[in-house]
Amino acid sequence: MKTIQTEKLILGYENTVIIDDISVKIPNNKISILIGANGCGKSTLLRSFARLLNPISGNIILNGRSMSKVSNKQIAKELAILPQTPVVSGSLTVRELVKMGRFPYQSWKNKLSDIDHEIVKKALKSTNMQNFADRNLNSLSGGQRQRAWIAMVLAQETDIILLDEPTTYLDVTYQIEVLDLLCKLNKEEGKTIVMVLHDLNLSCRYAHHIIALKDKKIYKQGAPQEVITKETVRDILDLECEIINDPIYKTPMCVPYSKAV
Amino acid sequence: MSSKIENKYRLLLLTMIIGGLLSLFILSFIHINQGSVGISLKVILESLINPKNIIEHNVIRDLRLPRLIIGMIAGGALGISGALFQSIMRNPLASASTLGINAGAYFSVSLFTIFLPNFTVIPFFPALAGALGTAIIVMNLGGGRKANPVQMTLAGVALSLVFSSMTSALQILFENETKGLFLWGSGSLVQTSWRGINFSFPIVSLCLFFSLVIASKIDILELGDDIATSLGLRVNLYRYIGIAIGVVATSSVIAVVGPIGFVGLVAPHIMKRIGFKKHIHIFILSFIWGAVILIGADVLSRLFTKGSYELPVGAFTAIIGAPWLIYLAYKTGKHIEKTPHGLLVQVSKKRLPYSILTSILLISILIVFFISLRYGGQEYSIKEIIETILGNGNGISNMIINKVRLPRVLTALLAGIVLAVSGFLLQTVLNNTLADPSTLGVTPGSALGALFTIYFLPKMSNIMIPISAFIGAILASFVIFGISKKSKYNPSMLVLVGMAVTALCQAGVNIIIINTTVGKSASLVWLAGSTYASTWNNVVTLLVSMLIMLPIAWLLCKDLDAIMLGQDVATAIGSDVTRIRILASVVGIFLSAVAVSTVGTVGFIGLLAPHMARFLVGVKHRKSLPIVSLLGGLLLLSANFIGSTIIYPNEIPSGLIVSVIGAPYFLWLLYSTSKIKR
Repeated sequence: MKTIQTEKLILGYENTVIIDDISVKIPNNKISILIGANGCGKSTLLRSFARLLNPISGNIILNGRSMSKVSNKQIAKELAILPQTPVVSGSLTVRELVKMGRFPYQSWKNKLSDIDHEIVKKALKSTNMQNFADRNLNSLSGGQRQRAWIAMVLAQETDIILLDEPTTYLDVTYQIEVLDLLCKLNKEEGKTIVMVLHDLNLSCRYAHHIIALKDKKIYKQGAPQEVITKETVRDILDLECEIINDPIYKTPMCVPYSKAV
Repeated sequence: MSSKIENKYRLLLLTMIIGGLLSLFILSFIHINQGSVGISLKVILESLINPKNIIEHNVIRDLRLPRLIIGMIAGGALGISGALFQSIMRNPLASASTLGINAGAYFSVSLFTIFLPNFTVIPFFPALAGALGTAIIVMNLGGGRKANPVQMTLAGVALSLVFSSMTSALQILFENETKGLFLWGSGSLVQTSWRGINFSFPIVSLCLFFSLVIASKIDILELGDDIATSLGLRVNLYRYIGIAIGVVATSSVIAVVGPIGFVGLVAPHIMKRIGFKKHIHIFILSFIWGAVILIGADVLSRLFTKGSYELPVGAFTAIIGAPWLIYLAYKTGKHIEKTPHGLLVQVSKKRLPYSILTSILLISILIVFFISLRYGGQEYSIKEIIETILGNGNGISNMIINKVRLPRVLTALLAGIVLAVSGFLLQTVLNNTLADPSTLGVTPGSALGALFTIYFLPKMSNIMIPISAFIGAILASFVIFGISKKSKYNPSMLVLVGMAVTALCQAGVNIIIINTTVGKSASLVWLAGSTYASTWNNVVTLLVSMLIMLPIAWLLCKDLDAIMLGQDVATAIGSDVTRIRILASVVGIFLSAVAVSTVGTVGFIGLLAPHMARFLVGVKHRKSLPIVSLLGGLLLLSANFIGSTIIYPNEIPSGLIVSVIGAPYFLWLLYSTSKIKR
């Protein structure tokens, strides 16, 4: 069992409700992508999946039990999240960072076992970071740094990986690099991946399952072909567009109308 | 702007101007009526309209009126300078006190008073030199133009710490020369002639005039450098003019009435909050309301005056202003919470092997330990020392080494360790490389507690000093942590609240010291941190706390590594961030209170030792904890040795020696961190 789902989830800060009564089940071994307008609560929902935000009411069910009843460390063994653009001391090397991913498995002695070292090595390899392992984080390019963080998340050896806008601030080359890496992890290791992404067309290309949010609720969810229609884009993003087929991958592609051209 | 909104704005402006002038007028009447000699309203009016050479009229003309007028000028000038700093630095927390400018000017004036006593009657140029120097340093250290407000304010706090410790060094070393500076140093409006007014009035008027001239340029500057430049504004020119005006206005005030905090922070900020956007209005209103606030504070402070004791108004503005700063910090801190980041530190590229480093430190400690036992008046050989410690000495050596030197040296060593570990824990907990017990307000809190006992319960002081120091530390921490609880102990938030608490405690300390006639220097020595006359009791207290707390600290280290990655990531990999933070803070606060109660307020060690350790062995906590302890011990041990021998038979408090070593290092550190962040 590697499931994550919510029951009547209500989220918010102080007096404002951001997510209102959402019950959703994330499909296993698939890539799910949350889309919606700025401020619609995509990141909030994702953060609550990773207990970075406590619900006002409702439940998050991780592998069959309510997340609030599971210890922090146990959750870290079942689910990993890469928060939005984390910043950390430039003096940490990639290897040191990735080793931190083994934190939930360590006792108070804080010693890495041989197995831990193997897993760190594997994480570095699958993110193609072996050659950068002893470089300082701040000497890396944006794409490399993001891969280093993903390697840390991989070292947690969880079945579920959440990512909050993993491609923000990256050039399109690096965006593709990061998304390809996630796609590979999903295909080869069967990881369940949930992420927030801004780019509709890339979302359609990489996602198996799209969850569109609007007005604190889920507007529509399903395969990209079902969800991404003229109507959906108009409703959730307030944008007129045509949906055509991506000339290469045949996934839906949104071509917006401009008002002035 | 539609005309309806425009009308409303005008009405508000008019209300605030008239309301301000009216309040000022009423307060002035109350103010001039206050004093040890009761004078009727009629006589006051007469003295103004038809002055005669009688005592009442002279009192009013030569004492009360100058005090009132200098208060208005000073309040207004501080209001304007605060408004200029806040807008130009785009920092709602900026003001002469929060940026360290007051402390810098105070230091410079003390320096001139000692070494060039006949240089000038009103220390305008020394104050200006200090203020200008500090302004330049703080802008560079705080990260230049792109600095975030909290970072720059932190640099200001740190600079204040550096300057005030150097000022107290001067005060202890030159007690006689600086005697007159005390009342002035905490900010007092007391005037005995019109000299101060004649001096500051033209300068402040000019500053007001020029700030109104450049007001429209500041409006554009506030849009951001890029936009302002593309609109054709000479950004740097006006930035420097504005800051120069602010610095000159502040210095002219400091020169006459001493450093007065918080007026410059509060007045402009209230005006901006009410909704005034044009700087010409902000400047005029900050001037008027700055005067209202300062006169109001003076009126209030004199209500608390008993007999000839004078409560300095600077202490009172701190008491009014510090809660405001807390509120502001809370507001600002909330926004900063949204950009979580980890600890930023510098690490050496070339590292010594760990075992060699440890050995070097241990051997250094041993060497300093033995030479400390050896020198200081009577000299002993190593053989004699060891024999005496083992119990085979003669009566005199037994007395000197076992009863005097050994406890003192051990106290220095242990207190150094305790302070260093305390700072080490707090820095990681707060994700802030500038945090330590003294910047957080814990040390000032315990200092106030201890001083309270020394002066109000003198009979039981020996037992009560450590206990009251501890109570003070706990109370201060309760306030600091209680208020920042809502923001989930946001690092920046904690430091700002700490700063406000420090200001409050400092005000309390100043009030106590000014109101006592005897033992000023003795309490200053204690406040500066002294290992003099340490007993075996101190050693036992330190040792026991250390044996309990250090293992806990060591266990916490693993989670502290995780916390270093920032709150989100630490939670994501399974660390209980809040619990660990609370636990580590409690240990840190406890250790710092223990240190204060034994050696007084020794600053900097909690900042220096962790930095050096991280630089030497990297960011892993288990690795750096032993190095931190050894470095802290070595630092205070060496400071104790230098302080007790260099001007023997006189003493320099160890805390001051640490500051003298620490201040330059710390400035360099600030400079290099500001570079990493950019």
